[in-house]
Amino acid sequence: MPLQFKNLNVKYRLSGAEDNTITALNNISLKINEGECVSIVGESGSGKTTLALASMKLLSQNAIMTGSVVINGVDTSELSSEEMRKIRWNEISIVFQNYGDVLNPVHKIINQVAEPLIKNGESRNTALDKSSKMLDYMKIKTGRSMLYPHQLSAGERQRVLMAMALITDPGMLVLDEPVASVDAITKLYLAEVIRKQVNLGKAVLLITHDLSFAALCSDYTVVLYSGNILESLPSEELLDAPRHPYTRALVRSFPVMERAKDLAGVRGAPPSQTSTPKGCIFQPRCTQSIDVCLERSPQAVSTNGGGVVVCHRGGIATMISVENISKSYKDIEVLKDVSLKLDEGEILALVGETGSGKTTLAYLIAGTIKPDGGKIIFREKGLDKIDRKEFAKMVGIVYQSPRDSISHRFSVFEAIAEPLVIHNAFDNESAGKIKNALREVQLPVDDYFMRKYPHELSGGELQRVAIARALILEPDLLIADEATSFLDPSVQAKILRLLLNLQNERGISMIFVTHDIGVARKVSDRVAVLHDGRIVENSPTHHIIENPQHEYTKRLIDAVKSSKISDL
Amino acid sequence: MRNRTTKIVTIYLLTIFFLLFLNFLLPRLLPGDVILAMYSGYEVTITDELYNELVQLHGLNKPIHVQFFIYLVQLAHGNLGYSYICHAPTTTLIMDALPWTLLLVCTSFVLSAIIGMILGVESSWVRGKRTDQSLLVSMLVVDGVPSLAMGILFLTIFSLYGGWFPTSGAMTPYSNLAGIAHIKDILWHLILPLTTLTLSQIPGDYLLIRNSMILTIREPYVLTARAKGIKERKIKYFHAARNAILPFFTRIGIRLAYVITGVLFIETIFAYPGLGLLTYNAISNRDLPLLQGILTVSVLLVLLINIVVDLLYKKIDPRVEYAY
Ligand SMILES: Nc1ncnc2c1ncn2[C@@H]1O[C@H](COP(=O)(O)OP(=O)(O)OP(=O)(O)O)[C@@H](O)[C@H]1O
Ligand code: SF4
Ligand SMILES: [Mg+2]
Repeated sequence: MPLQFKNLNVKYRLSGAEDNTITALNNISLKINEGECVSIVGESGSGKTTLALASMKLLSQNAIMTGSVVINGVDTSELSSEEMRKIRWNEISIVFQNYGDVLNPVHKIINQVAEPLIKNGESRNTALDKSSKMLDYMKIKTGRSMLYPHQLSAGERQRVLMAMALITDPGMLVLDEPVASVDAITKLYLAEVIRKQVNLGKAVLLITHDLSFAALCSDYTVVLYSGNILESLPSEELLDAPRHPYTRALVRSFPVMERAKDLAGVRGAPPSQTSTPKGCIFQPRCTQSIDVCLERSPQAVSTNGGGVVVCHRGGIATMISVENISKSYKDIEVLKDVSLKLDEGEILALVGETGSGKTTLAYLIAGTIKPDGGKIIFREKGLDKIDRKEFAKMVGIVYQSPRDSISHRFSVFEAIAEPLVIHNAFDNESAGKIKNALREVQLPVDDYFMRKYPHELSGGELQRVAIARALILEPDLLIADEATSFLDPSVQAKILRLLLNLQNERGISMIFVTHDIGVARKVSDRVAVLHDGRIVENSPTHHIIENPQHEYTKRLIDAVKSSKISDL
Repeated sequence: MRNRTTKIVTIYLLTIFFLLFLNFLLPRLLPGDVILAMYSGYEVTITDELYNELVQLHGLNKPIHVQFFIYLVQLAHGNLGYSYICHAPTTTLIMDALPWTLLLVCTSFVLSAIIGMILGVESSWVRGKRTDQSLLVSMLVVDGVPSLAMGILFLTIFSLYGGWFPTSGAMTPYSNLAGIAHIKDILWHLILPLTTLTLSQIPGDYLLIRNSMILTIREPYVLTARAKGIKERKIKYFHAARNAILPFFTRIGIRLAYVITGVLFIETIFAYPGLGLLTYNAISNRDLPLLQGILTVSVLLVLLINIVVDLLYKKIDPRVEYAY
């Protein structure tokens, strides 16, 4: 077992009182085997570098560490500094996060690369020779190795650090953001170098905020949040099938070439590190927290994918599951044996041409119509067993045409207040609530505007009012049925952006019904394609766009592409 | 590259020109007659004949720019004027004194720098420990003693009272020593002034390096070196101190100024026949031509040192190429 962390805790003592500390790592246990690359991902400040430094016993003086780091079976906490010195760069080496002067500014880079060899007793000439070859291998042009660090680009310095880490051929590598400042082509090359080291039997700890690089290089990915491991999963599942809500939020905020969905940050801010919450550390930002999340901190549970997720709900939970639903209007069978799942906090696009049954499916889910066969489960309860009115509070609907959904006899204020009135929830705080809702959808909040009637509003304004109305009861699920299709492109873009922001801030789930797969691609995590009353395809959005399986989907995508071309 | 060199050379030439002009102008700005102001001392009487000769020499009857030109021409010939008080050309007087000062200043500058640096580095490395704290306190104490007082103390104890060292001069007069004995004699005379000057410089160097080291130790490259398993001493000197000494070099000008003021007092106390003593005598005799000559030489020396430091700095800090 080359590298192992056992119940590692690291606190940093801050200046001032003795007990003024922040927790940088909380009870981390992790193993990296020979020939294995484990990547650590997480937001800035989550403790990644602290872990890297701990692995080589290099934490700063104000760090308090408990637990142990085991290198090749030896517990390093029992080693003297002289013994530790011998392990460093012979058994384990590190590429430091490349900021500031990681390389000594007054020494030539080749000398710095050669230094560990020379300290091991090699002659200066052989050492320089080997270093020169290694720099060459890292694609530093010959001649440039005689330069000083400041004469190299950040990307070159990054590769010098890599060359330095590899020079003594240690069995373990710790790489802290090794591709943070390199271009895409060099990144691929570095990935190749890292994979080769792994195949040679090295244990590699790869720290990166570049999720696709983690997916490319590593076998396992560990998700660190504020010093806690929230999930570990096989790296190939990282981008497509994350289990923890936090991992999904990270993936959503990470730009990937294939994905066109707008980036959404992880909502909220990381917790204060000075106090440890009683419950789940991610709770304030979680989109699916339940009562117990505030009470107790969750335990790790294994997932069927071979990973581990630390969550009371076993990771991202299913909000709605539609099982073998069918529905006919008179003789026409609109939906045939449809099954579908919607996760908490997920955005699902239902795509299909007119008459494919999209709206019917959406209304079935919303509970406004009843299925002929099959069942719908909402948060583990059959929909037919849930009180209609209660359920209506949890689902907001934005219709295709706001003029149909908002009575022309209501003013803006009345239209938004109506759901509150229906649910007997209108009280003296409601006026403020309505104003907030208007602000959220970026509409004016003056009395003049609130007294306007639908015919006095533009289509875009009216649709915003409809959205405010749908959200006033703070639903957990928002269904948008062609909510933007009749708007002109620029208003459409604004409304889409608005819906996405609201979804992200509130962490609600969303079903986005549209005939336009182009729009679906921009907003959704997952796309379900309906054709002739059946779901013919249901996958992560970028998979569908990249690699559509069904003939019908291909036709839809081609149609969008060719219409784009004719638009030119 | 060529552009940069031209620029630097121009800057230096302009500085020299400006300083020489100031030096030329000063006596002329003194109240009253220039000749009388420059040459009258209580041991010299200025005859009419001499007066006219001097007016001729300095071209005082000519317009001011011509006067300056004459001044420059004489300077170029190495002629810094004549001291009527010492009855010798100023140049000769200065050239006799200069080697002694250079010996004293250079030796003490290098010695104090090396000792100050080593102490500073070692002290910062064990920051907060007892060694560091006692070093810091003793340096602050030494720093608090004026070099004048220190010199007098040493002179009293080691020369007047103990009699181990000479009380004046740079070597034993009329002894006709040669070879090793001669060198020994010179060193014997040098020790007290050198020790005083060096001791008065060490705290400044020590404090500068210690502070700089404390900042340098936090630099990422020191952590890199530690991660690489480099031996402690090598991290300390090759990686950390090598960077920590850079501020010392940027401040060489200021440090030299300290040494030069120091040398003025110390040469006087130990009657060491260098420029300091010469300056002291020139001041107390109101020997203005000599003073002016010393000033000119000092200006040129300081500039020369600056050039050398500039060139040297480029060698020790590879980043500095871009500083201009
Ligand atoms: N020497 C230190 N003293 C005090 N606090 C520290 C120290 N080093 C790190 N921290 C704190 O510990 C936490 C974890 O820091 P760490 O550097 O490990 O984050 P990271 O995940 O590497 O972030 P990034 O992605 O920005 O590199 C942060 O809150 C940071 O402010
Ligand atoms: S569901 Fe609860 S335990 Fe799971 S991540 Fe959210 S808050 Fe934490
Ligand atoms: Mg970091």
